[in-house]
Amino acid sequence: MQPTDADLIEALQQSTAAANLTAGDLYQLAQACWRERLTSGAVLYADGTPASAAYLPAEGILRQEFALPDGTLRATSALKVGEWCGEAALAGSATQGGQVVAATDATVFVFTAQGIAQLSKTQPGLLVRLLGVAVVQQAKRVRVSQGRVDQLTQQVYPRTPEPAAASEAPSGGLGKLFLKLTGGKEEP
Amino acid sequence: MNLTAMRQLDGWADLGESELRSLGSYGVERWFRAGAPLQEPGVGIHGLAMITQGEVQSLFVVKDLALKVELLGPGRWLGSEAWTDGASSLLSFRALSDVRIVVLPMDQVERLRTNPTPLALRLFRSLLLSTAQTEARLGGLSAQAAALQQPAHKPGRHELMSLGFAKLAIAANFRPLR
Repeated sequence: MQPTDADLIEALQQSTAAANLTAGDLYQLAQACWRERLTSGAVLYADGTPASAAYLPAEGILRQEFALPDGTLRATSALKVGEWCGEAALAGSATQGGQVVAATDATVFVFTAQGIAQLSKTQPGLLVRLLGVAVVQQAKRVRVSQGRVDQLTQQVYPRTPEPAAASEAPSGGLGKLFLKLTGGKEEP
Repeated sequence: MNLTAMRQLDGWADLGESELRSLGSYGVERWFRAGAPLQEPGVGIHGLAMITQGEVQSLFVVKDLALKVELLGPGRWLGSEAWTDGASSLLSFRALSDVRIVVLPMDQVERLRTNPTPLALRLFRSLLLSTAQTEARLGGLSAQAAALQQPAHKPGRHELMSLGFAKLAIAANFRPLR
């Protein structure tokens, strides 16, 4: 990996981690990762497997899946260029949550746990920025998941719309008559 | 904030006095009695909050039903959705026991993000781990919810029950899982 590799820079730019990255930062990041190619359908990692690496997609689309109670896996989100996955490894977690599969032929940058540990010693500020980006991306997926459950509850119990404003003019004849009798003015 | 108590948290065993003082300068400590609501949908804590003592239950609440989402203990975070364009959580959070939290306003979180101290690294690692656990739990629920929304079939109360919703009165009286 070279710090000037266009796909590395592009992936970092898409993840918004590229802001204020110096040449030295790019060099350290290039040292901490390698490029891995996946064919469509390949499993990047399964649920509960050791969090040995974090991944930054450079090309193609990945699919995040979670298991239903009967064990069937169902896709919940798509991960595109610049969207971290396996980020539990960035924080030193023991295992990954959920499964990630290549939805198309894809290329990812692999950041091993050892490489990340080295970054924490040599470039802690850079790691903090990467962690911040990963948390924001995670938070968005959490919000989408919440929205899906909320959507189901709204289908069962639709939220009642706000009541109409009292100042709205009546449209029916009886309403207009009432308005006239009570001295109200009809809006043009 | 108590140094001994903070050192019990995962990843905080080597927390120093100066780091603890620094944390105090970024955040505000709040406490809640057992049973008190910490956050309701649309009404947030206005920042990121880390539980330092006690247990909190996150719930989806609709009408008379509630779905237990996660049991959050010391070291877990609330409010990460605040980073998604200011959207608040759709969950309710209730204290199961007396609870202490440290609330970091978003401007202080941004200050930490650009200030690479050991405290910043510790906080963001902890936040990432916590959000990853929440993502895994909600991902499973999201997958189930999507599977229950069949075309040409309006889901009903039965579908909510099969997702795990139960009567709110029962959910509110549950015992913490161990």
